[in-house]
Amino acid sequence: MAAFVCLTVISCSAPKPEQPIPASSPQPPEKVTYTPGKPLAPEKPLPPLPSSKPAAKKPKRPSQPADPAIRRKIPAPNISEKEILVATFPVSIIDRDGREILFEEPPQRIVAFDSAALETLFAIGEGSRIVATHDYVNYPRAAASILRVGDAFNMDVEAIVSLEPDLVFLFYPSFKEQLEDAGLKVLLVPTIEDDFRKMSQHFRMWGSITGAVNEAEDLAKNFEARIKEIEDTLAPYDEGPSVFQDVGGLWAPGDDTLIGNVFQLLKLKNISGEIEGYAQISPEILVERNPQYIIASYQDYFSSDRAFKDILAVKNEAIYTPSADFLSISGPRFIEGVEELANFIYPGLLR
Amino acid sequence: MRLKKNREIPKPDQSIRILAFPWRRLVIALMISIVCCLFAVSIGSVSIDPITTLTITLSRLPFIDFPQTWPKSLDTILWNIRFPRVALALLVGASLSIAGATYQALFRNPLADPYFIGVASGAALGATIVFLSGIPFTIGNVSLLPMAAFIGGIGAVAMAYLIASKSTGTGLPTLILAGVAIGSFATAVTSILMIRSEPDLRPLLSWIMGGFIRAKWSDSIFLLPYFTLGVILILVYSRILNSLQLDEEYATSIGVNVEKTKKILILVSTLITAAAVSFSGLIGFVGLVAPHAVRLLWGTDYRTLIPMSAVVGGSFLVISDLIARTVVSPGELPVGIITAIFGAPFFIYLLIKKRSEIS
Amino acid sequence: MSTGVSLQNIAFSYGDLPVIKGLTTELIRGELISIVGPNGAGKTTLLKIIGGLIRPTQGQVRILGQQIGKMGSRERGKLICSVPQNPRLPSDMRLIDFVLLGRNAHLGLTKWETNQDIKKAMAAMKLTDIDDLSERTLGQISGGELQRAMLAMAITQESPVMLLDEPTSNLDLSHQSKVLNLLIKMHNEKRGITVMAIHDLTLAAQYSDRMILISEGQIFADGKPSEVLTKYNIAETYGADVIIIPHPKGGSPVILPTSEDYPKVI
Repeated sequence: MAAFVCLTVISCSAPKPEQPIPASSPQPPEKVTYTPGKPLAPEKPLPPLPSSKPAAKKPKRPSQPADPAIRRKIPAPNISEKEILVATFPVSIIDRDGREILFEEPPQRIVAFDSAALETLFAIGEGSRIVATHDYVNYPRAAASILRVGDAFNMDVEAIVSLEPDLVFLFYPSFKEQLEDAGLKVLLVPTIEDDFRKMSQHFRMWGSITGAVNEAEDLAKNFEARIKEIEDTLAPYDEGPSVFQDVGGLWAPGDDTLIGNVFQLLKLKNISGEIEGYAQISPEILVERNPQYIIASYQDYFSSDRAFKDILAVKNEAIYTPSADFLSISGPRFIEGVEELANFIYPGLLR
Repeated sequence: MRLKKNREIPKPDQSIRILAFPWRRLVIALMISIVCCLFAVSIGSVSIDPITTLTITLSRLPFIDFPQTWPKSLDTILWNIRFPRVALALLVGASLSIAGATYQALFRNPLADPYFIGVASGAALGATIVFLSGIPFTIGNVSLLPMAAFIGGIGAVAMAYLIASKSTGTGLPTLILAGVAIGSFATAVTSILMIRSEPDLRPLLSWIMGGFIRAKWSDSIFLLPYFTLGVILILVYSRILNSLQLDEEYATSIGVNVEKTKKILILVSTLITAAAVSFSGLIGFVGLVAPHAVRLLWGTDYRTLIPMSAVVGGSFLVISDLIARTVVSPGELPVGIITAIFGAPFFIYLLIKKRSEIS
Repeated sequence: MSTGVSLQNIAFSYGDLPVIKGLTTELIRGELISIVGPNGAGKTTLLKIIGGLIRPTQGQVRILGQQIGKMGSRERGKLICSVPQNPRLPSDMRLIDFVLLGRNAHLGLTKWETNQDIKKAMAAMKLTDIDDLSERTLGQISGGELQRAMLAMAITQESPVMLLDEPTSNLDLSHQSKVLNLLIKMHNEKRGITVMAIHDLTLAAQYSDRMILISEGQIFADGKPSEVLTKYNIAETYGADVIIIPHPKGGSPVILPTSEDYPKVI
């Protein structure tokens, strides 16, 4: 029993590693019932948006020499108050603890112990710099051959040291000191857990670290544009349908989580919104608040339970199972997950 | 039970097992327990006023029909969420308490609880395997998680028993050691599986910590036969359980078949514990503390201890679950936290009290 | 012999340590036997073997012709009762409940105690002079009262063969003789077999008509107390120098320890 208590404490205190939702087949959107009086399908066809290039994997280009005349300010992720002066090179990035990590030149051997960082690097064409990552990376396919040096809780520090990386990127602090004591350069930037809009800053950060600033800027702008498209499309409407997300065992996110912010973007009313972080919600509340949509990995959990059969989402078979773990990784594919969810809830609304 | 009042009656040879059984106390305890259950049913994170609760409940009885003036959701909440939950909590609490009392008698150890010889760790391992293997929890309407937990729990105890019977040490201390060893092993494997896995562990951990959040009527229906079998059998053996308070040799000398008794009672207690745990997860302190509370009030005659522990344990768990599901509304706490908050201080009090008694 | 207890070539070892080595004897119905011997000779082990509480590594115990190891527990309980020396007892059990446990062999799984059983228990407690303590718990009585309670439980068991391990070691002088007299009385009434392990040789000699002297796991001497208790036997088994004088009342041997420093008595 003591072991379980310890595990609970560990899992609650450590920043949570990324959580993929097991893949299963996507549900075709079906007829849903909305609150009467609040139409969500547009009455007029939308004006076409300027086309945006999706981020493509470009072949690696040699990094551009630094232009000392250009000093750009890139705000450090998650620390919006601090601004750092950034030249194309040298570049200094402020980490979670406020320290400046200096890059004289783009790192050639990166240990990217973070799925989001890895995907971002590949998306801006710099994936070949990565020499090691953790066990749970499964995208892109090109990453399959990269060495794995750890799992959710453990890092093989010796293996990392023996790879002689010139940058180790972490999103949780457990092994930072050990790695620094071994003489490695560590950049610790916590994973984004609230406002997903900050992801574009991360993209830009990687661009400036690797020198692929243009690709990163494209990626970031694409991300921002797609978000803006959703915002603009939904701007005329006050409120959308109600939604409930079950991550398992009736654990649900509050408004202050990453997914909670996505719900706000999509103007969805999160019936467990007042929770802080994640908590187990009472099934009575679920029945009373009667969500129109449910997001869950296991359909059977709700559709086979007598207690839930009268909930709108269950009656209308409006239970959405994400097709992949897009929304679990705060990287370039996150926006795909947002769009997939939006298309499920508002079919035909977005292109 | 006063000697004069209950036992000396005019009829000379009539078996007085009826009178040795604490009918009056039991009936009173049952009534209090029913009141607790009704109280628990009428309170929840969605507030339903008492009149409505009463009308909804009564209209479920066969001959009473009220016109439906309440929204269907309240009916669902009351009948498909709260009632099954209270029923399951009652059964699980009763099962754990009876098993705990029996283990305390068998092992002559006041610290024994139903998880003593490995049931808990085995059940947790079974649940973890199902959870992490990606198998869907329910196939059709049948839930796999309870089955896996049950198999895990029984399997662990069976292994412990096998090890104990093959070893040269005889009897219960060996069984305890084997149970601890198997339990630790199962816990270690569970931890490895958890650490090496990626998905959000919160649902698994909160299942392990115990809770009734997903209680259905079918859970209670499945548990009922185990509980009934268990309570009847253990009650039948309750006189012999009294004699087991003597050491094993002394009990043998007065004609008790200690080996056979141990086997049967361990089997039955393990069965009802595994069955209870497979629906509720590992709720601690109930099986430990309820028998002790009853002992404090009414002494150590197992003919009283067994039925009263069932009622006290069941009610305790019903109230704990009530607190767990209302105190942080709309969220819920794992019920094991509540039982620990109440159980641990009580247990410390017991330890201090026992220390100050010179036996 | 089918009217008593027969031990055939009994041997027992704790692991590699032999405790009883090849012991054969018959206990005949009607005998009041005392088992004596130095510490570690195996008295307690022998009693447990006779009572069926320990299985001998070799040999058989038969009671009334039946092997004791093959009997049902209740059947055995009806025939043999063993009273241990210092058992661990629950301190919160009431005395009356404790004594009633002796009736176990006569009750079934679903049959609980009747008034008859209670009457017998109360009678037994009266005989052993503890009937005013019936509501006390075992933790609240003295060592001597506890020993008498164990005896009361043995009495309620009503078994023809009674084995007692040091039944008087905690008793004061008055209770010692009372209890032993009671044992003799019961023995005479039942005409069963009573076996006592006693370390006090004088007492043993006085209150038994057959004495078995055990040494190093084997029977050293077996017969009437006056025949068994000789200076030679005691010197060989106990390694002690004693003086034996006949008891003024009845003539049973009285053993007086002596030593070199003790002033010589004529």
